[in-house]
Amino acid sequence: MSNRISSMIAALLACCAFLGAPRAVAAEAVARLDGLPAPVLVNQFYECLLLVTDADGTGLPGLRLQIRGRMPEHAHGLPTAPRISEESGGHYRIRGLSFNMPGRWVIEILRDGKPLLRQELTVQF
Amino acid sequence: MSRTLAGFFGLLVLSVLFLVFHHVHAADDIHGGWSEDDIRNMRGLRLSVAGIAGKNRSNELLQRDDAIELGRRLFHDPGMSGSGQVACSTCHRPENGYQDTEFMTFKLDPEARHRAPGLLGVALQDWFFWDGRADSLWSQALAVIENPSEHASSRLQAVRHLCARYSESFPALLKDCSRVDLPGAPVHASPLAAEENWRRLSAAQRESIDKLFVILGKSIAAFEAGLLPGASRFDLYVDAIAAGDSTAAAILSEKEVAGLKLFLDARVGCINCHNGPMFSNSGFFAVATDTPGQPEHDRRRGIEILLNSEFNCLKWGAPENCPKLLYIKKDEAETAGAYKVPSLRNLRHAPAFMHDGRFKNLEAVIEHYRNPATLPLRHVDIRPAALFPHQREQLLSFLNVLGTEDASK
Repeated sequence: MSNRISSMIAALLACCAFLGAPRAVAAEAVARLDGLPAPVLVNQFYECLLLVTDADGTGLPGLRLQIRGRMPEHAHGLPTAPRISEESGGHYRIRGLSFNMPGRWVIEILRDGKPLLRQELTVQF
Repeated sequence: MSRTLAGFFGLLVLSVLFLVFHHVHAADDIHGGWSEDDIRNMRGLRLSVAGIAGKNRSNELLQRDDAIELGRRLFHDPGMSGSGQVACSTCHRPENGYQDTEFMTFKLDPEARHRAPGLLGVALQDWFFWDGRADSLWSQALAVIENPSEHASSRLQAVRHLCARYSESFPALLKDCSRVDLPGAPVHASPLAAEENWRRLSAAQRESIDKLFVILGKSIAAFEAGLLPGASRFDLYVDAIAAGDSTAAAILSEKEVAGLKLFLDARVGCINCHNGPMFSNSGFFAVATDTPGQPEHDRRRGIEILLNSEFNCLKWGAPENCPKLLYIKKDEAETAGAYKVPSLRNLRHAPAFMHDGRFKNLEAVIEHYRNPATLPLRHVDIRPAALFPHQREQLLSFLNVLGTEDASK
């Protein structure tokens, strides 16, 4: 009986490890978003910087990055389609970011379709 | 010495007491129960024309006096229309806040998709038409002239009329009129309205006609940018609250203030989309008003038209003046069934509401938001707004506070 319980626990742990696997991507690459003012206001265009490095802090160039955003309490995403362009040495620039509702927003940066960075922000009038 | 010290401490205590009393008193009287967040949100709704220059960067004629005057005359001139009977002012009635109170849009064309909206504060918009298929006020005016439902004309006829009637009075603006060899016939030519005739013109003629047509649109837009709402009782109330003026309580009734509180409450949801000086965030949202089976003319369709428009911002201006178009969102799931968030100012003359005019009064609009008819598997941006009957009345009374007069008269 205790063996069955232990194997169930082991299976559960394996399952948790599997579910947690996408985070390994984030552990290999570290992303940081800079340049958004505080507070972020509604209906303005913002430009910000994104630095992506490996765990040792070396910039990762040539990544295929996407940005998406949403309001957790609402059904919609960002009102614009921001673009990410590469600058140099793991530095990327995000242009065309805008928010048209006050409240809590979540921005996500994806690398090859997988989450790399998730950042929450509160938008004000 | 001890007497001096005692006096000093006495003064200190009095000062502290004064400050504490003043603060409490101020909190009671000045803020009237409003939180700092509420006041900031209300100030964001305060009427302001500061955004007009930034939103009209693609119109270099915006502040030229001659363009404003030419635009004013063109706005009231039926000579550009196909029938010679239809001016902008035929539907946008100046005496009624430039709204179409007589349903002229449908008298001109029973199949017309939308009624002409009011124009007060129109230059504060980011997008034009319910589907946002124009990204500037000047290109909106041009689309109307070549729309068979409206002016039913063509750019050749409009430009010929422009030059014949106005080139002597506006030589600086219309100097190209004397340089262009406008064909005497045919009457109409346009890639949209009379394509065959348009193709027969030389490239130089087509280019000159387009340039003058754009000047025509920019002049009308320059005139329309001066059509502004006056301050409403809401604006006066915000000013009084922000200034700590004790007369604020006399500006709005208790019922209207209760309606304003509901309006600002994110759980009710109005403020989420109806924010900014014109009570619109310039966004497009699906509010369960699309009709299945009907030809769609929603934001998804509007984007297609805009990207193909010869008069969109990128075709006539520098990219840095066109951020809205550069970063336009094309997400089909979210733009299907979505329409532009309209202003809530000056609804007093509005005879119908929503993009298709389906509701005849604001009571019906609020009822829709309480119980939107959503469809399965359809993206909808709203949730039912929980409002008691007395709260509906309060919200309605607040919306009526936003009725203002034309400040430009």
